[in-house]
Amino acid sequence: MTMLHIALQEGFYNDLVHLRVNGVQVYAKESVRTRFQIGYADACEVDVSPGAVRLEVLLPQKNMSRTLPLEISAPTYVGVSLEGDAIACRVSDQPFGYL
Amino acid sequence: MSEHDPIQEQVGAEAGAEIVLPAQPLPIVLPYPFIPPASGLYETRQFIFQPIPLPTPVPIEPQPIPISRRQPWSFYTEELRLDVDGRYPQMVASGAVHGALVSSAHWIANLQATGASSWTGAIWYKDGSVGYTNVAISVNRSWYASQRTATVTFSGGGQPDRVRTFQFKSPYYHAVEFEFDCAQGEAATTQINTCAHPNRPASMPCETLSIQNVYQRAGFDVTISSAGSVVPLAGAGANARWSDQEMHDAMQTYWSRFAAKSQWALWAFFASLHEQGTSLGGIMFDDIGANHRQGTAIFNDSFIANAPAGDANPTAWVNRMIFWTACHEIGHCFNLAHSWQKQHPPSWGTPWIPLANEPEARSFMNYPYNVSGGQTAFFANFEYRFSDGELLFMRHAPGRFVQMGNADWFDQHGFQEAAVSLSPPLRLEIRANRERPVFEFMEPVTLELKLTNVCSEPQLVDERLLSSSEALVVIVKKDGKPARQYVPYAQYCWSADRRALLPGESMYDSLFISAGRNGWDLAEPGNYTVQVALRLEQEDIVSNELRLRVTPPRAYDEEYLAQDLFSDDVGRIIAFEGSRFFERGNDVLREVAAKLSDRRVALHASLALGGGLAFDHKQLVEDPKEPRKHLGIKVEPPKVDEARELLDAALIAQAPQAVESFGHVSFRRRVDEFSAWLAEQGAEEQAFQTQDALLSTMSARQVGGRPILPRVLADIEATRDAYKPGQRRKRSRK
Repeated sequence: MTMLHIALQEGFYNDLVHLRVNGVQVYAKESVRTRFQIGYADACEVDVSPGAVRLEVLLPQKNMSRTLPLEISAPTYVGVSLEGDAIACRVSDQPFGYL
Repeated sequence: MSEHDPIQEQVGAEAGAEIVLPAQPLPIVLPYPFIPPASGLYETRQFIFQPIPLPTPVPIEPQPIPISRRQPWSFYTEELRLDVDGRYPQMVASGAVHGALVSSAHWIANLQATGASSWTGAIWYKDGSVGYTNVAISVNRSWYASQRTATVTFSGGGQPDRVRTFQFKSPYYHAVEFEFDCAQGEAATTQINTCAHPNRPASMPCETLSIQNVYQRAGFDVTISSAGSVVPLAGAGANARWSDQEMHDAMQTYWSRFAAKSQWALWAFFASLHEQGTSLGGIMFDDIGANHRQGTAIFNDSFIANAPAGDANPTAWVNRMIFWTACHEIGHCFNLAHSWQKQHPPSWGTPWIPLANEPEARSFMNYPYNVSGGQTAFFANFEYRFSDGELLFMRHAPGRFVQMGNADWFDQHGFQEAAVSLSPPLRLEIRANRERPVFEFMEPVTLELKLTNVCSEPQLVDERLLSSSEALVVIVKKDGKPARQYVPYAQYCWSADRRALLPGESMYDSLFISAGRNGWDLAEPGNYTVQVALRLEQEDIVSNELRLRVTPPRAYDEEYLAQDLFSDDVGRIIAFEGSRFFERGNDVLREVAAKLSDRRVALHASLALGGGLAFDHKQLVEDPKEPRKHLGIKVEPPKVDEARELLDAALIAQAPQAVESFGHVSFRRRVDEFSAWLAEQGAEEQAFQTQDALLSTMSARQVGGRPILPRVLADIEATRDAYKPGQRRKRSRK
């Protein structure tokens, strides 16, 4: 198994957020809010089998969603941000740092 | 110099005299041809002399008293920040007026040079009483601080020119103190050698650069507190990692300057790790309590201590990164956002001016590893500075936005660009007509507005100007929370009906602001600030800031009932003074009136319930028995006896409490309506008694030792007498 780290970063303001990995809900939280001074709201980590993984980010109250296909072979870090009307995702093989 | 000075007129000053500030220490003299810089802080102070009271009765004609015999009552300070040379000049001037007896005002202008020591430009930012549109500035340069002056001519805006001469005070725009404390076993990295790491701009001067230097170059007179402390690790709890609350507690204990107030001072704490772990390099943790942005932290063992693999000088890289992080976190204490957060949705808060994101900025407020090319590209041309937009904010924004402990982190600011005049013809006052602006928990808050013509000419105003939700902008701010604009449930469209407001004359209205379309903005216990702007065709009239307090609940039953009372239905019933549609809300009000009969909210509940029953109630209903006419108007008759009982309980039975809770204007209007309604029901005698109760209540009423105006009492007396038997006249509901 390999770690998939999903960080909710910029742009969240009292939002309901659901995260699904391969169709399984791994995160559901209300009132997710970015702390602007560090650009970070929340995070979750799941263990996944190496290979193709489908990450879904859903904000049902805003009718926003995004599906991100990933190919996992090592610990993977995904940063999710809201940029206007879009969900932006950043994939990294290094942990994110906040300041 | 023009003799016309709107600021002096505004405060009623009788005379003015400039203070000569003490001479500053001599600057370092540089050899010719260097010329002294012009940038820096200039200041002038103006005395306000106490008005000379006239004896009553006047025995003889009062004689003028020489200025020298008068005692200064107060003074106001007017500042100029000139930013045209020196480090990172922004070609900007800004000014501010402060004083206990004057409305604060702030302006910013972009400048162009018109000579070696003169500039001119347009004012593009106004906050408070600023009517002028342009400035022209000239300076007297000198190596002697006491000989340095700046003369500013304000012009435009349809006003006579205003000329002010300022004395040089400091080459810096603000003074600020930093205190660096460390957790046990940790060190503070407060300076670096700029050439220690090979990845740097080719033109970078090699020097020892301190955090103090960085902020001095940003325009601040930085002093470092000598009271640095070592904070015991016990403060971090059993896990030895620091939570925001633990750091806040440590700040209160170990920061020598800690105070629950705004001040130009901050606490920077160097520790090992935050409880979030190695992913958090530093945080301005102080968005706790009423005074934000006083404390910040840097975590020496977080990811910022890990140089990239293969780096040419890992030790220098780590030192630089910790130093950079300290400057970054301290920047948040100055209310600077990240470089990519300058534009954001309105719900996050209103930026002080429209700003553009700067995702590639080589600024302390950007993340080095997020720019194109990553941290290597960032540091290759990073010059240890803030961006121009950030410098503009720190140097020239109204001080309350920047000063630590003042405006909340990411706070929004209500009247940042009101189009106001230095000498407005009208004065708007908002007040709670009671001895202390303290409201019981659940008591709906009704305030009073007073608009006075303070100029020498009659002013044409709309009769219903103070009732117009389009003209009024009401800001409610609970301490420690963002300001919110009160949005009433309804907007009324009145026919224009102008009246002349004579010099010295006032008009009044009441303002219910507890609940509106935003919900119950003013309900939770705590301290609030309320301010109103009146949007007129040519300018805005901004009121005083009213501070008021809502007391905590008295007991559990109040807390329990409050959950139902603070609903949209009840808010609408109270705002519209009755409804038969919101039955659930009426049930809540009935329960409140019965269970909390000794509390003021019961008066408001009875009034709303009575108001809903006093008249015919028309309702649009569906009639399933009539297929050709699905909808119809159903009229329910009034419930006169029940309404009379409720209205009497609300207004007359406890009239001294009612007049204070509803406010003078609203109480009188409602009693007048009640009397008229009683007369319509044929109860002339009771209408007379009701007006008589109004008269005796208002006659006995004093606020701050001031009784009700005699002409108001005379009006009430005349209204009362019109209900006397034999003097019956046709009345209708207003």
